[in-house]
Amino acid sequence: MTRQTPILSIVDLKVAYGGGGRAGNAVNGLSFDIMPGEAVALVGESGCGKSTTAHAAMRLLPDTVAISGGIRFQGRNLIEIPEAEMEAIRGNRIGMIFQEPMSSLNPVYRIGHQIAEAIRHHQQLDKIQVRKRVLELLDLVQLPEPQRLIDAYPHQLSGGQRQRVMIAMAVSCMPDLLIADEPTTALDATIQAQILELLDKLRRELSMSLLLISHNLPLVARWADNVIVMHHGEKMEALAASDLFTEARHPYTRGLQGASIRLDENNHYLQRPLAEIRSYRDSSGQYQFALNQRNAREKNRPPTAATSLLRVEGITIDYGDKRGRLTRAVDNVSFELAKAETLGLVGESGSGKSTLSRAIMQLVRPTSGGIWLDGVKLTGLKDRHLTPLRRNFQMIFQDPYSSLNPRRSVGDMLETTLVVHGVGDKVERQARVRGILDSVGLPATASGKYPHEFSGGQRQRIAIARALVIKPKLVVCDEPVSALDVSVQAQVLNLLVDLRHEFNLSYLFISHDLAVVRYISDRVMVMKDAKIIESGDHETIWRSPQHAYTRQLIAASA
Amino acid sequence: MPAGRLSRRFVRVALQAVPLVLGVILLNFTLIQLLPGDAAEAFAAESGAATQETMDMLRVRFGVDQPVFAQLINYFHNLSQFYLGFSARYNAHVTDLILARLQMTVLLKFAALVLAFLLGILFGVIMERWRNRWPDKLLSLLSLVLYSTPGFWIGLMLIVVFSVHLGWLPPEGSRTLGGASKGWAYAWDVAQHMVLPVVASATFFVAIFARLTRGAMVEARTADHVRTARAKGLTSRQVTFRHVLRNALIPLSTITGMHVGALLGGSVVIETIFSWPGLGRLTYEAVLAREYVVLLGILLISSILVITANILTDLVQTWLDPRIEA
Repeated sequence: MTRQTPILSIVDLKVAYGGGGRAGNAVNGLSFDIMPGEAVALVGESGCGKSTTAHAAMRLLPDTVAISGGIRFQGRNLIEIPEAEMEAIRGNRIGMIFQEPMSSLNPVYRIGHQIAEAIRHHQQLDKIQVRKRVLELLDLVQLPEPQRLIDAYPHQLSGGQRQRVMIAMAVSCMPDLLIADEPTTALDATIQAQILELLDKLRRELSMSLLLISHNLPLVARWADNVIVMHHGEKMEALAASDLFTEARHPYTRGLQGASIRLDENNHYLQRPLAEIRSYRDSSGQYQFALNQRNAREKNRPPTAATSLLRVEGITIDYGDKRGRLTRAVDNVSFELAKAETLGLVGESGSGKSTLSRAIMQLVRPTSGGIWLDGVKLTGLKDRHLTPLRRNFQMIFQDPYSSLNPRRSVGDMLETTLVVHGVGDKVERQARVRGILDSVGLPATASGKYPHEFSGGQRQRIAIARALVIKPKLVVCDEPVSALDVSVQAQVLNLLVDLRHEFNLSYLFISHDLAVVRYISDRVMVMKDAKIIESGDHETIWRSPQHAYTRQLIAASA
Repeated sequence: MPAGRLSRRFVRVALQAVPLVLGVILLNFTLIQLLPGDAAEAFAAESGAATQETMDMLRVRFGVDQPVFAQLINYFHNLSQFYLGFSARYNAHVTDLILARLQMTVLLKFAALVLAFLLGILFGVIMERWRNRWPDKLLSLLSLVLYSTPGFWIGLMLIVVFSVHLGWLPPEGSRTLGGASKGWAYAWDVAQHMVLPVVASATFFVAIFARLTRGAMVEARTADHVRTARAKGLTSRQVTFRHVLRNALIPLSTITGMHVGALLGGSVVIETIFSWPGLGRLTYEAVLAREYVVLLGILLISSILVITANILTDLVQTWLDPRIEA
């Protein structure tokens, strides 16, 4: 094989954010090459410098950032060339798509206009030619009815469609390199697979190189040729994607693997806790990684007693909009949840799973149907009768950043919860706060701190402590790990399993992530278009899914 | 179809304004009822004296002998014929009086609003472009000065400098007495008379719009789609105007609409200083003369003016932001 010249060559790249709390090197001496037609993935957790690297290659970082090293593209060092030359490369020779398809398009311009803007800027085409080219591109990214969509505004499109528009824009000038920064993280599983397939197809058809940025190991293993694992701005390991799960040597890579849950791996909380990877700096300032693989939990037995805790019968919830049109968010849903059972609820965005969880929490009133907890009918109760019962059912929310009041200390927050539920004695309250902080793995000193002083994973521990401090029977977990990195996700999932045993809890575990639900649940329900379309034992539902949609979900996630 | 969307929106906001206008009319009517005495007494007072027979006759003529509800119906009936009452002092129908002044005020204030908007945006763009550098700091200081200096003082200083010392522009009135009364010569004459009052009315709002534009643009620049625009390869000027300023206009238009009322309120002072024959000066004169019929007429017309301005703002916003439903 003859040696080709790389299309993009990153040499000893250093990126430093100046001041403002984020001081330090975001990228620290990173080097790698991308060959023509090759797909290279940068993988790592938040803050590892993967997105910064991608933005540096496009020179999209703010002026206050200090960049050194080499970003060599077609014989030029992109760090050094003047802005005008860079403008001729951006969107022309290098295209880029971003994580947030919902906000990455300007809401005030039509789709066609926004794609045309890129074409007109780099190519000398007249109005009719540009429109023809935009229609070709919309067709290329497999959007239905290009003639209609070209005049649509972004808010009239779904997330997946918007990401296709972004792709059309990025490839409009047939770039040599496409940078995709977490292109599917904000999208549903089935849409995710379609977008990645599209990117892969375009890469081959347009013979582009692809730089894929992702936090998702199984995803990059499937869609990239080569993978670079990053941590704290440095390359930990570079290896072929096919070897990612078999040949990895670096402890961090192995730790990420252990923490990742793959659908085809067939892991379940009863068999094996997830491996936890922790990174720390040793005395010489070097990063060390400790992999903690606990043994199978003997104490975790599947729930045997089939006493019912929660009974949901024929729940229907309609939302009316301003014009009085009704949208059915939940349609005649019935199920039961046994004591000490974890019931998983899987569905894509808009399937009604969050509305259902709010109805169980008595935060929305169902249009019809009833909900019983421990034999007591909750629906229809007056607020003053409901309040004392609320201690029995608590909720953990998705976003640990916005679900904690930033102006209340952790201890204050937990104590208030106890006060509300009538724990009058201050000594007892403080003892219980200390106890619950210990149970969720936070130091006692956490009590005096405020939410912003904690990391995302620690905040989710605080949220769990807040839910558990009043000893509920049922905990509704609404996407509790979706906003977390994979290593933190593993820690939180392990914690939830331990706590369930310790406090004899029942979980309703809601997620869009099939692999996570499969790992943690005893039984699983699949929700689509406001209905429960399938439910069953955690084993059988994957082995022999009955509904076509369940099969589709499994295929998309595998 | 944007045109269809706009007209649907217009119908909707116009319909929403109907109860508001009715409310204003009711409030106006209540104020009339609260006035001490009635129209007949006021008329009699103006003419000096009246016998009881004359008073009774006047009461029947003005309809104030009727029950309140009948008077309300009568008031609505008068309004439907654009009849707001008769001012004995000016010896003219209030409607004619107001309409003659209204156009002068609208002319002055609309020009001031356009000037303030354009200058404010220009300053705001410069401030945002060189954020925290000297152009930003200089203009921030200037807008602080404009913001905190009272309009009447600026007006007086403008007269002192540009009329008294330099003699460039006329200090008062809306036209030269004995000058042309139609055609281009008349327009040019009025335009010259307008310059100083327009500038004096606009200064405060230049400051407000400059700060708002800067703030809205700083906010708009953080949007993800601005990064997309840069990733397309657009120049920084194209990004600033097409993607940052364009989107910042949406919050800006809201605030502009809200300030129309304040702008009208300020016309009393400016029109008095520059002897501008507008609604503001009429208000001032009517207050001094305790001419309630005129004041109530002005109140009603001004309210309708502000409501109209709000409808226009709503339409501009619908035009600027395609996400707003018709």
